[in-house]
Amino acid sequence: MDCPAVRELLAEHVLGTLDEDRRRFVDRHLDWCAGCRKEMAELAEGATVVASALALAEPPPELEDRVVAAIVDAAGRRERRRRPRMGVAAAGVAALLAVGAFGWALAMAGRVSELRNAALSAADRADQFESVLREILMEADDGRILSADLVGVGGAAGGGRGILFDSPGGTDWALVIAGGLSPENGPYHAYLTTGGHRQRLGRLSPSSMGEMAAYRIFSRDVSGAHWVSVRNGSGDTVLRGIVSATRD
Amino acid sequence: MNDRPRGPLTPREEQELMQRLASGDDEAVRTVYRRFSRPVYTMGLRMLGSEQTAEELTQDVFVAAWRKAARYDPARGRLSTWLMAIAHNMAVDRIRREAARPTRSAVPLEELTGFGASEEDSLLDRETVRRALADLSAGERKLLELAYFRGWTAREIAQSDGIPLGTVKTRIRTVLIKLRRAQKAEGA
Repeated sequence: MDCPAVRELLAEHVLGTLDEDRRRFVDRHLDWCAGCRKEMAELAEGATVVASALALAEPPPELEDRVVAAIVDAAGRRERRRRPRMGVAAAGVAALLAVGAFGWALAMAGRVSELRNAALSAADRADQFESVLREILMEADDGRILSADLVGVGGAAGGGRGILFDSPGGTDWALVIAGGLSPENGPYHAYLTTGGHRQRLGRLSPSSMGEMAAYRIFSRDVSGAHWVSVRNGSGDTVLRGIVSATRD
Repeated sequence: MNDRPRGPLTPREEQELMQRLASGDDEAVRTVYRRFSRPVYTMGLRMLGSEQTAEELTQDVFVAAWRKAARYDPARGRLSTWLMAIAHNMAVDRIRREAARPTRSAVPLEELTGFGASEEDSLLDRETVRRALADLSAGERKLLELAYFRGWTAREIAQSDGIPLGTVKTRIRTVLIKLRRAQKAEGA
């Protein structure tokens, strides 16, 4: 794409109203084009003037601790995820290659409890599962993994991860693994939100070491999903995460 | 609220802060939060319309900032611009994907700076902002209201106002450049 065509889209990119395909297109161009990056930065400065026009409101004081806890917790999980675990990953890759990614994924989803020695927490367990899947997909060059770090909402305890498999063949699935949720506030249900539509993934069933899991197979595309959330028995959202294609 | 950091950071300080944020450093998270939580929360209130959604947006924005911190490049712009772009894009995403509608009445753009709000923590000098907005025509202010605060696409604005798509795109670009120039001229 040439610079004039990109520059025509930059203002909308700054305002966040480009569709996903065009947004990616522009981002790829910006990675190597310093001239368009400069123009983009100037438009973004203009947008900051608009943001600065707002009379400032004060967020609730307790929000700071919640934000800090969510980030420190997620950073800790990421650090643990980066530690070597070749044995598990290699064994998982071999198993996946043997039976195919999709079949293996379903088998694993149904056998979450058997991973009890593989990780220290529900999120670690999901991270490890996701790592193996990503390695497999890299090998197979097929399908796409989306994921969401689930963090507590409104100071709620608990955490976890939602993993979505976007299959080129059209049979997608979603798996949610959560931990740290009080059993007395259940039953818990996982949801996937796409556009304005919220779809129930299913009831979280207890597995090993206090974590819970739910999964569902879809006959439709999950790639447009925006949120994964978990609600308690009263219908309050207790965990929530934004679906992302990138993984840190 | 705890003590807020004072004064602007140099680009080098901003980069160091983001490196510490990327590692999940507790103090760095608090420093970034205390500098920018008010404008981010305010944007959430203004665009999404409720305290709850504004809180959710604020948490999501700072988690996203942590995730992207390692990729922050001061050569591409100030930290405030980068962070508010993340906040704005996430708010627009939410409006568009969830069909969220503000529950409180929208504040006309021309009234935004008239609240007598504290200068403290403002991203830019408020008088500069007031003058920059005052230089816009009524049509340009309406365009900003729709495109910036309501997340309308250029196509939606063109259809609503019955004007060509290319004209809307050009006007959006022109008004952003105009605001930037006005702010730079004041700051010079």
